[in-house]
Amino acid sequence: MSSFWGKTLGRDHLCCIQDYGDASSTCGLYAWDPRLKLTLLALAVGTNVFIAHLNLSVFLFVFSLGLAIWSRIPLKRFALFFLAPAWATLIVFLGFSAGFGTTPIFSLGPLTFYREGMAQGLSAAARVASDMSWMAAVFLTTPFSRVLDALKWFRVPTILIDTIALTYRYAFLLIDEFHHMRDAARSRGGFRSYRNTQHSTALILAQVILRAYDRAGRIQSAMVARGAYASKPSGNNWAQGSQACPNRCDVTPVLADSTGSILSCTNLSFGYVGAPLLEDITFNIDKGEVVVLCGPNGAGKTTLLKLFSGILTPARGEIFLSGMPLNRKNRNDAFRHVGILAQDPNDQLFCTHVSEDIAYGPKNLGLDEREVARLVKTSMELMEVEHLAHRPIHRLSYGEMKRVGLAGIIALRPPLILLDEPTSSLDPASGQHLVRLLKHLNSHHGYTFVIVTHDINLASVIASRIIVLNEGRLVADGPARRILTDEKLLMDSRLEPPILTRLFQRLMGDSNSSNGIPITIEEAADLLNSGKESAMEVTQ
Amino acid sequence: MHISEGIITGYPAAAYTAAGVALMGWGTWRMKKFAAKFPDKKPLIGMGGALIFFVSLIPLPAFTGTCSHPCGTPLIAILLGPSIGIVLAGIALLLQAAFFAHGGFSTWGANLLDLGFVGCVTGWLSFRGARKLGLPLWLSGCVAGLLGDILVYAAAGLILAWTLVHAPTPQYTFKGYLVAIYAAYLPTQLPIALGEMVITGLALQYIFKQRPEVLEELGVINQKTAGPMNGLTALLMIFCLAGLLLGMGIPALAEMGPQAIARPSGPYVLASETTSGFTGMDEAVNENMSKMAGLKVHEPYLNLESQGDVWNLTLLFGGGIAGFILGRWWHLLFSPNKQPKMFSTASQRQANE
Repeated sequence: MSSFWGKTLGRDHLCCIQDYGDASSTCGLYAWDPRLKLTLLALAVGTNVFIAHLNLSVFLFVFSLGLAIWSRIPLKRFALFFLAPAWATLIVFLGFSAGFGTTPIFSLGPLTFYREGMAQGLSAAARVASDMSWMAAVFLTTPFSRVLDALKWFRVPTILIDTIALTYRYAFLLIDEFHHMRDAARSRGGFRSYRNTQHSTALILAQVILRAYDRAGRIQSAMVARGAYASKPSGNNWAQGSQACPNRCDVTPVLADSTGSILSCTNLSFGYVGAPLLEDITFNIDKGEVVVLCGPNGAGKTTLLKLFSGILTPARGEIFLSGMPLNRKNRNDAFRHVGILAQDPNDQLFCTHVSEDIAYGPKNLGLDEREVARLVKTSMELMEVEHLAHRPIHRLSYGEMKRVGLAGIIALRPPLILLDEPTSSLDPASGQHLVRLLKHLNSHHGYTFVIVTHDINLASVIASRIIVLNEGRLVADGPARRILTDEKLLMDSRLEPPILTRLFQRLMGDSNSSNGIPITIEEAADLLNSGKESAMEVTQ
Repeated sequence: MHISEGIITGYPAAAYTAAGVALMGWGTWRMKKFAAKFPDKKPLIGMGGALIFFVSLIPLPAFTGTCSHPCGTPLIAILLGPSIGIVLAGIALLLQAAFFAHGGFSTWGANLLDLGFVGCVTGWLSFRGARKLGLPLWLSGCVAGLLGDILVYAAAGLILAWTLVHAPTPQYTFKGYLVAIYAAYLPTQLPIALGEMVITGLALQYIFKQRPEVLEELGVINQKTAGPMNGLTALLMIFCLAGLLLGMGIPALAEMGPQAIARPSGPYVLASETTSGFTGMDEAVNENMSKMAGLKVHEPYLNLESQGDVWNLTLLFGGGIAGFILGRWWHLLFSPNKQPKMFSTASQRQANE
């Protein structure tokens, strides 16, 4: 049993065993209540093991097989549940055959096989087949989140269910991390001998443990940012409905005081003694702005986002969210005013399935079930992830995870959303998709964004204003055009203008003026077209 | 190590499941208390579950050309404590049974008793004991990994032997099955136990080298239990342990003769039964056999009898030296902890710098 797992514990194998069914199917067991299915499973396995009779096992196996065929479970997935333990079952069968009985049938070297032992081995194999087919029939037709809901109904302690959910969510990720590091170590000769293998495995295991420890801290932050420890559940006072959105999506935040700033900070400082990370940061952000925070690595951009979302508390200075001061006492309630999308979506999405994760925040708002369901549905439609509703998080692509993370935030309808490197590690198409959705949220729903990024091209297409940070200080703050055309300022902060802008600055020979220098492809095309028209007019 | 589905049946299966549920109940109660005390550490418990799931599936090479996986529970128990470790093992076993067909629902209780309870408790106890004796972190990890792994397999052997001997028409006695199971485990599981020993020790040491504050926060190391590496103490401990094991093992081995293994009431005659009553060969038999084969009988190369009391004297001297070492330095085993040198805390290091 162990050698099989040792050899085949790979991503491919893990992906082979399906852990969720086709949620859209309504055939047979798919439509049954998970509580009923779990009860039947317990009864079947219990009876099978307790009575332990060959005929009963065969009957139960045939019955579950019938259920599987009726439910139209794909044969390949169903068969995997038998193939995985098949060789272990064979060993059990052989062990029983050689270890029990009084009537020898034949001998193979030192081993003699007995008739009675074979009967017992056959009975054990039938038990395995029956139990596994029942497990397959139940778990291949029930999304795991619904299994957890059923366990809640059976009064299993909440802490146990939460731990099961987190274990299920992150076990696959840890295995993936281990494999990535093992591949890297192998490519550098780390697994060429027995001794090397032990050493490398221990080294990688230590890294996986440390990463898991750090990730637990980040998950805790993400939970706080989505209202896990809200002081008292209460509905928010956002107005319902939006006439502006062509889809009439009902997830638009409305401020109680629409005239004031969404966010303001004054003389903000943070850091350790002798090593300040941020010093004297002061600025305001108004409703509907899209502010891009730029700066080199270690400039303090992500720290600033954590301060705004209440994850960290400033050493000095004040933060006001929608006019209300943010402090140590009320930071667990900051999620009503501000949402944060982590750079690594694996830290952001800590529930087992997509719809469950999106519902996490609205539930913390204390809304009733119908309203939670409506917000989840609308957010998923808006972020174009409704087809992923019942998919486990670990089966999503990186771009899908980002969109699901954003859906989880807009289901809370905070007026301000903080995004940490939203397009990092995304392919260009996924990046553009996300930008299109962000623009829609801004233009049609009035969401305000603060985006931390190194991607200057993203800043050029989305930012209305850019703030440059360097070594923990605010270096520049102004309209996107002015900042993006100031080559010296950007170079001093280890950034650079978009290639297009640099090209036109060289062509137009005026690198200091921002007037007329295009920062996007559309602007450049307009400029070139107008130049072409004027040239034609001169020719004529 | 997972006991496969279908082996344990009837009342024992129910009893193991009940014991597993009771263990989970106790662990959950402890976990609740922990979560109430440290609400911000809840995700860490979940990550611990993911870790135990993953660690118990890490492929380790065995000399026989195959791979197997470590128990993992000793390491997790060292990091998160035995009670939480047991619950996490229970969760990991459930998920592995449900989605990977690894282990099984009917053997979940037995597996939890074995991997969870025995693995966590023995791993944690041996780690704490080793640290109390002042052994360095890596060596304590090694001791915990080795003992935890071996005892998990020992317990699995006991559970299996007990199950098999109660099945209809068993062919061997309890001891017979136990010997057979251990003999079957030996070729693959001994290298795995050594692998788990090395990996547990080294992983702890690497974590300590890289991020000692993590181990401090988890309570794995602290100033009270941390002590300087003392080779003599380690030697003494190993000496005592080896003596203890020999003292316990020899009578057990002596008892486990061929007569004890075969089931005397069985109608089928075993090869081992035909040899019952055979007490060994003396030199006269050897000489006779040599003569019958036409060979010349020569003196033995190592004639103990002709050396009189030389061997007794050697043993006496050896015992005297060992006794002197034990008598002179035994108190080191129980000496109060000295100021740690190797395991100073991160804050102390910063202060020193």
